[in-house]
Amino acid sequence: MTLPSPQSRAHGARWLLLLLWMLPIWAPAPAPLLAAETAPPAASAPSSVDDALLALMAAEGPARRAAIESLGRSRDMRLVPFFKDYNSGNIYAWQGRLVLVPDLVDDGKDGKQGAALDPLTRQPLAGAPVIAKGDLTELTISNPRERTWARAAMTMLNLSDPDGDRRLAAVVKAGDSASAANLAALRALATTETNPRVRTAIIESELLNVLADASGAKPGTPAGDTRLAAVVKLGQLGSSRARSAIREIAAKKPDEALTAACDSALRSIERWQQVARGVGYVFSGLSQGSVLVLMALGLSIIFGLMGVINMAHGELMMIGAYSTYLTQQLFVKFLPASLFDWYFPVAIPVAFIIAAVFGWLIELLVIRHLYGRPLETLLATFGVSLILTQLVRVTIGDNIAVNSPSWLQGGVEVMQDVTLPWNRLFILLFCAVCIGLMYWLIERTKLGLLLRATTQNRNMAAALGVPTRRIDGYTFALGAGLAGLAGCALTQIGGVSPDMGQNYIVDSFLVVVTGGVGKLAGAIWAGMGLGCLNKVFEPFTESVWAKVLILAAVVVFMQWRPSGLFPAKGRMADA
Amino acid sequence: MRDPMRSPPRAGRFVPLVALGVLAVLVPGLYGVGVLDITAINQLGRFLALAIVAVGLDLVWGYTGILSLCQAMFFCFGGYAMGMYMAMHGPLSDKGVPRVLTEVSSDVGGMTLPLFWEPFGSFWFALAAVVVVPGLAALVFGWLTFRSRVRGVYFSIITQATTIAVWLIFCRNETKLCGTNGLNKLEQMFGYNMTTPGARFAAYLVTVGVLAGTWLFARWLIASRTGRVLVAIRDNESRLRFAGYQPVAYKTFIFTVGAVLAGIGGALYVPQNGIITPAKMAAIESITMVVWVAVGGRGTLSGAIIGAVVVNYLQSVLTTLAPNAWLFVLGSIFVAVVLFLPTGLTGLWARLFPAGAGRVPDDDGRTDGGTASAPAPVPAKAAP
Amino acid sequence: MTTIPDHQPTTLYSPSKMDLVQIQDVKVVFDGFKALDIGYFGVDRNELRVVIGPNGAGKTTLCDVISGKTKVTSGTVVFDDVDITRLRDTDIAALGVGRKFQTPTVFDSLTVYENMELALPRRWKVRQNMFGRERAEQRDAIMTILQRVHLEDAVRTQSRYLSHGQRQWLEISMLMVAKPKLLLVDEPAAGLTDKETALTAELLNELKGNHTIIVIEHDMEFVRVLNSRVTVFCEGKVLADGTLEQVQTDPEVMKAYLGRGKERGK
Repeated sequence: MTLPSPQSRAHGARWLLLLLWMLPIWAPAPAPLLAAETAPPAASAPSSVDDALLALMAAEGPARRAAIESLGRSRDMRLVPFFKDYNSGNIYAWQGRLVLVPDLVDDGKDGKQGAALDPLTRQPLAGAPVIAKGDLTELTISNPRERTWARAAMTMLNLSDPDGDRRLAAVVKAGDSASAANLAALRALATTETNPRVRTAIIESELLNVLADASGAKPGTPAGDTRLAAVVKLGQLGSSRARSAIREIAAKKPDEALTAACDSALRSIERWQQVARGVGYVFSGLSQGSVLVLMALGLSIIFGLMGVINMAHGELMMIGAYSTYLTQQLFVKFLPASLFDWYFPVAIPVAFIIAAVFGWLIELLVIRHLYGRPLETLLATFGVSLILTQLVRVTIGDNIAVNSPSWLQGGVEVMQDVTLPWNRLFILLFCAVCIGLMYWLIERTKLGLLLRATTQNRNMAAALGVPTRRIDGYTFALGAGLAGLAGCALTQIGGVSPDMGQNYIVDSFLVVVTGGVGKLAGAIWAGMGLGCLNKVFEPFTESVWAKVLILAAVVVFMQWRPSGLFPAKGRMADA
Repeated sequence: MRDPMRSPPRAGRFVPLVALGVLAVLVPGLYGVGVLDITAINQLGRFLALAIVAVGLDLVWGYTGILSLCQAMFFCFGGYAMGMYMAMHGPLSDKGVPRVLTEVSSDVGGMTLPLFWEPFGSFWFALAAVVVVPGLAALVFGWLTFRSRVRGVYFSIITQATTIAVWLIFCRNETKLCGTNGLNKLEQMFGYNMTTPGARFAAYLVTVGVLAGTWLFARWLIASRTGRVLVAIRDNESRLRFAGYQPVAYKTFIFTVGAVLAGIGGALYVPQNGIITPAKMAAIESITMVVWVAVGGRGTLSGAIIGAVVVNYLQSVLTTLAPNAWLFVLGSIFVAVVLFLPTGLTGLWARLFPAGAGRVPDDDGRTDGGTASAPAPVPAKAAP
Repeated sequence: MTTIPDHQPTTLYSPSKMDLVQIQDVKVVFDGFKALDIGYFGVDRNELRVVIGPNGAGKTTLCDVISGKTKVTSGTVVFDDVDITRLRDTDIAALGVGRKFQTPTVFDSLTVYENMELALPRRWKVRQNMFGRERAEQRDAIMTILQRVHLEDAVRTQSRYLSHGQRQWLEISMLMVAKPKLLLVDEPAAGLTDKETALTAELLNELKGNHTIIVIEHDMEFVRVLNSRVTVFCEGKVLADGTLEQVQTDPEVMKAYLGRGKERGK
């Protein structure tokens, strides 16, 4: 049993290559691409937010615009909801200040009244809980353009959001709705932005804005040239966001140069998307495969040791998943919401222990009595699996949801258009750690030594005083615990139901069978391979056919390697 | 013709005769005088059709020691072949396409009959397909896997994987096998409506006849030298190779026989049941079939039949009385039979009423007489 | 029978085209471990050859190679003028190589008679076995052999109920009724009482002269009774060859058997 270090090294190298390849995309500084004019901030801006708000209350027309713009540059994120309220007319002037009155209700005397809130903090005003409508002065929006200014200010504010992800979203949004104000805001942000993802997005959004601006331009004019340049550049970026815009341009049957530019841009975008999809598939295949490896590892060790096929292994995984669910429910019920995220770290050992206890019981009550009768054991453990499935269905129920802790939500965009979700990354890492621990346990500890001795020659080991029965129990519990961990991990990427085990058990068997029994390296190769194959087949066929193809592939594979990738050799090998 | 060297005189050799008398004379008689209604007859007929499958599986698993987890697939092959014949004579669309097929199709009206459906209009073709499709599938699959010495649990897993693959294919609408709905509302056969009591009764009698034929065939096969080679394969396959035998040929042969019997069982089951869906070949179905044999007593033909009937009755009673309990009971049966009753009900019977009582249902032409309380045959060697 | 050559420690004996079994330049390697490394090993027709050697000398591997259980890494194996190096075990058995395993291996759930019946030669096909039965003379042959090994009362007993010695005899009887051209007998006396051993030796001696037999044995007393040419294996190689007396006085053999013991003693 060896860890497949060559494999991981190969993968590492491939990732590195991809990263190197991606560098040119991030590399260009997001200097304004097409025009040098950056809008300098208005000089006459009121000094603080409060001042600006007062100015807003007082001003009409151009002055109000200056106030709004200065608020937009303030970087005070509380102003985003404020402007929403402003645009929907919920902001009023009252006693020389601005108040937010979200709801006006009947006061029972033919009038209306509402609770006033501070427009920024959205907390009730001290001492003036309810104000009659008559006392409020609506902040009239006389000009529809005022709303546009407010929206632009919101965009500005969002673009200055300190949180990178939200800023990114704002940049993308700014690109989707083209306007001169957005362009200016984007260019302003470009000078200060340091986050590479946001910078890439800024370039894209800027180009999209340019494209929208120049939509009606004639070829040959400066605007037309700008548009051509933007199309080419977007093609180079492989921007998926630009696809529909470029298609629109191409659909208008423009001049030859532009058509060619559009075509080549679309092609290169498509190519990039394929690469991105491919990376995504491989990645989700790997994470799915790593769960399979965890499952197969337990199965394989048990099979190697006792010659027993544990058909209830999938159900042990299911028990791990349900343990995670129950832990979550306990946290929801008995602990404050702020601690919710901690349920998962707690659930990991809980899932391991509960599944291990179940496994130990199965070994003690059933499998121990069937030593040397592998086919009968297969039947008995299948019976156990039915009982466990039904037990969980009757006691806990069918459709349950496990919510990811917040730190596993979202993802990291490793390259343009390729986002690796945290939960899948976590599962990969988690499985790698578990496999590493298993390796250490088997190769470096006393228990592992006894386990290997019993696996190789049970009678000899027993004669030397190895408590083989107890080793069986421990091993079974260990394998079951691994399945529990797999179930725990699986809650983060898939649904949880009492019969979830059935879906995974066949795949895990295929992993064991393909990888060869009792072979750690074989299990890892086969698990990752099957996981990836599943995902790689999927885009070409539907997932059902992918499954059929894989099953067929495994059956064919068994034709020439009946004992798996790493068969046993020598005199002990059964002829 | 029996060789005194081989086997002690068997007690209770007339038990199968009694059983046949009960099934072929007593039950119809009770139906005739009105004690049993047609529902009961129909139910028994379905269970006896399943018993044919169990006999085939017993030959494969009980005698030869090959744990096949794809019998339900062969069952469905036979069942679908017969079902397609019935559907071709059931309600049809304007273009002569069976309704069951157009219902799951995207273009209900414009659908034409798929080419492979056409010959199923003929009963004889369907009947041939009942035998040939599972038989050929088993022949090819068995030969390939046995040849490369896929054995033991490996074989079980591979057969299960194959069944799941085929199940997925049957569930798809585009394969024109009616998807997950399956073939339903099957009623017409030879111009008779199979839901009428008369037709159901006839189907029951045919099933009893085929089961009796199956039993005779299996018994003859087991009593022949080939039967003993099969048992030798179960005991020690590699030793047999060094005696000059080719286990591949025998295993492929018996696997094919088992598949054909499963197909025939399916073909008899469907007209009595009126519906067949891909759910009948889900993973649990195949393994439940193994449990029928285990409950009855593997390695005895009567055990397979008794097991199939008993477990199915239990299932039908329990699923009506306590739907949630059935899976608990089934699971417990799996465990209990393997742990406490390795020789099944027939073994239990033999232990309770030893050979002297003269009622040991030892009908398999072999040698368990007097040793029925012995432990179940243990496979020669645990996998390494 | 070839005459036993005078003991020559360096050149053992030369290849002969006449030998029924010819093993030429055969190497068997398991994961880098050389289990067998033979320049030449041959057994003449109708010869009884005894193979002895310490544990791990490659004796059983030799049997495995001839019967096709283990494939050679390099070299050729010829049986009855047929190159069987790449043949499957079944085909080799069909050519006439019969084998008794180190631990007696019979079919547990079949009766003694049924075991014998399966061993009858040249009836291996499915169809042959479905129809037709054994002839009267075959039955008589079976009964004669069973009487010889005192199993005539157990014909209807499932062989799982036989004692260890009875199983050994049953397996030898199966070989006798199969009448193969070559009998590979792996440790026929292992685990037998003295009386049982005597009968086993007697059986082999009866076969001697009109059967080709390779016997692998540890028990020197048993080997002495067989009174045949002996080949000594050690660490996968042919170490010595000759009569029992010759090999027992061979310094190489003494070193192989005793030398290791001396080293252990240090």
